[in-house]
Amino acid sequence: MKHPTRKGQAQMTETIAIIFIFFVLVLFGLLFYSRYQKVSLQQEAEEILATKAMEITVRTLFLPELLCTKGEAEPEENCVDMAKVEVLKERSEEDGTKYGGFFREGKRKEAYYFDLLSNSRITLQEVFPEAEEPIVLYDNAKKDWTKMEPTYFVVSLKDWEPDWPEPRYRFGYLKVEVYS
Amino acid sequence: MKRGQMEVIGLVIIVILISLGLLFAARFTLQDKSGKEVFTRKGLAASVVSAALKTTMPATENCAPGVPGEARPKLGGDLLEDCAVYWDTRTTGQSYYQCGGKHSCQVAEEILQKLFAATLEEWGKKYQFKSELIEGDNTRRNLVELPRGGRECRGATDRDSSGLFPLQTESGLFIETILYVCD
Repeated sequence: MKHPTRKGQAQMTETIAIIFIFFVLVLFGLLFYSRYQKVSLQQEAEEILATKAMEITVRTLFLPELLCTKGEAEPEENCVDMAKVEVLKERSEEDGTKYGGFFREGKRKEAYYFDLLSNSRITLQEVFPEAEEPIVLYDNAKKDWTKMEPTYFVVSLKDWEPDWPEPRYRFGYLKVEVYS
Repeated sequence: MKRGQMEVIGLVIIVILISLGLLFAARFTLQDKSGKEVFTRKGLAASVVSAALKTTMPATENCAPGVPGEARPKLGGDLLEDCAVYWDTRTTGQSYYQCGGKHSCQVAEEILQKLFAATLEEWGKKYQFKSELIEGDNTRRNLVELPRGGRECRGATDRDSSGLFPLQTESGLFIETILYVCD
């Protein structure tokens, strides 16, 4: 029987050390990769929520229920008609519904607005000339939400006053909070 | 296999591992800007300027004291135009509109400052607003600049603008307004 030489033992130890280092590197790689995957999944979820927030904001800005219109002329961009908002507010106060004035007309309307605005909360805040209490236009926030994405959009608040020939424009913003 | 060949293979493995690491690092650093951030900055900048210029002054400000009836000038079309027309008399305070007894340039600046403070500043956005009067020989005068002497967005990589909002005044003057929003 041949006994291992000193040189052979040294080579064996070297090989074992190299294999050990190699596996340590592979383990680090795997750890890093799994962490990266986790972060990228989170980022993707955030991106999806952000896109949803953007879509809902744009939909809200162009809702005929809010948009400033001038008969058959082009509607005014970034403008909320306060006469329409007043009607929504009154309806909401009469009903006491959590959805604001949009959902007065029963379940069918509820589904219609849910399709458009999903789980979100939309408020309108006047800034100038007076900083009034925010008006809740739509409130369908998820109860067990994990993430919320707020988006702000500045709008003109158009209204008419009796005995004044031109509309008055106030300054305010829409806050759209989207939940997931 | 000879020892030399084994060493070459080892080197190749090391090079492959380093390249993979660099690829990952590049993916992390060269990620696209979030679409929402760009949308928010662009949309915000444009909507802030368009809404601000349309804003009407309340009747309580008594903007035209010598004129019978009420005057409700718009911030863009009326006050900024008046500021341009009466630019030379801003130190004496003489202008057509006198909201709260002040020169229209001062009123425009104060109102814009108030609007920005309640929105952009409140949401932690940096901004640079400029409304310039362009005269015949292409000389430019800063009617309103906020923040004053502001370099808030200069050199910022994540910067978007409202685009130019031109105003042609009745007296033939030309006013250019722009807002930059940056992160």
